[in-house]
Amino acid sequence: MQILIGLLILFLFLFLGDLTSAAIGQFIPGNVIGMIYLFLALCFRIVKPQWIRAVSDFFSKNMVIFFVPLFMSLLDEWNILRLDFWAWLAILALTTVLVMLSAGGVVELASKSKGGHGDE
Amino acid sequence: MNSTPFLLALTLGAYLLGVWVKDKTKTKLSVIHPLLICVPVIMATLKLSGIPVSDYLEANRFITFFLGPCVVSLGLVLYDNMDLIRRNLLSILVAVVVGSIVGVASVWGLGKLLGLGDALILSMEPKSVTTPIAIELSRVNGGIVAITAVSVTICGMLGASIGPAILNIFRIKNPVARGVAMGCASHGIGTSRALEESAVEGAVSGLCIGLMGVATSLLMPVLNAWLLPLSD
Repeated sequence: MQILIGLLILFLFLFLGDLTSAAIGQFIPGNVIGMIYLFLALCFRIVKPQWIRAVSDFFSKNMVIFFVPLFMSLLDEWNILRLDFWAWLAILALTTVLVMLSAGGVVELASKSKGGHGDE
Repeated sequence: MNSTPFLLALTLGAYLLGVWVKDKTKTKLSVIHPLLICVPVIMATLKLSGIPVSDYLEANRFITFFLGPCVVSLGLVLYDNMDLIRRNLLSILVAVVVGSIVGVASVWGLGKLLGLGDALILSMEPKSVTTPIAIELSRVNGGIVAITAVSVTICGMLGASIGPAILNIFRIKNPVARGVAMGCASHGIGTSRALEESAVEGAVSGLCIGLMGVATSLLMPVLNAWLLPLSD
């Protein structure tokens, strides 16, 4: 039952997200809009956390399995990647470090400037 | 051999094998990811049995479909971390926006520098966002979904293995800052590493998975509209 209620809620919010996404010309993916709607519904107590806790835990613990099939389409796309393989890998490594340092650096600097406590 | 139940069982079996191997090899760096085992096993099985990739994908649409609900359920993660968000709201939001812009712009800049095609660059731009959101962004913006999925995973594993050492070198010590860095650069895989360091770091990192998804969804089309014409 718990699982079914959770799935019902997730499907409904995904549906609402997809509708909104289509209405604004797919500018933002429907699943992201659904996530924001669910977050707001939880904040305004329209949805209770315990309704979706079981399903949500299952999804977040096992998320990797759901994108396994996508990797297989790489067999078809390999020709595109093969030519630029090393450039591709180098860019991924470098930009990951850049994102890490810029995002972490902002918070580190902010926390130092207000004397080390986490309050506003 | 190319029946739907067999191909679904292949996905689940290969994945569980990957998880089993990960659990068996207790590595401190947690770079052994179930996908490193699972993906080659399925690829080899398809190659050896001569099953067309399109048949496999068709049979596994059922599994891929659940990426949508997966992303929606992250709304609960955001809600669970409300307190943490409130206390550090401004700095976390600025950090996520900066991280998102740096991510997209640096891929574009380096990609152009090394002479990559637009399709490949667009496929890599959402690489710091969690996979289910990243593939949607890639699809909507004209990238190649499979390349995005692999790019995202590589960034995750890379950040999770070398991230803490890099943060130490640059003296980023605040647990909230470290969590933001791991979550923004390396999404879910980075978060599992952040959780090993501390609960606060893990929670902030988990929060940033969702925020990076939202920020990049909004910023990627805007940045592309501005950057792509520059290359001509």
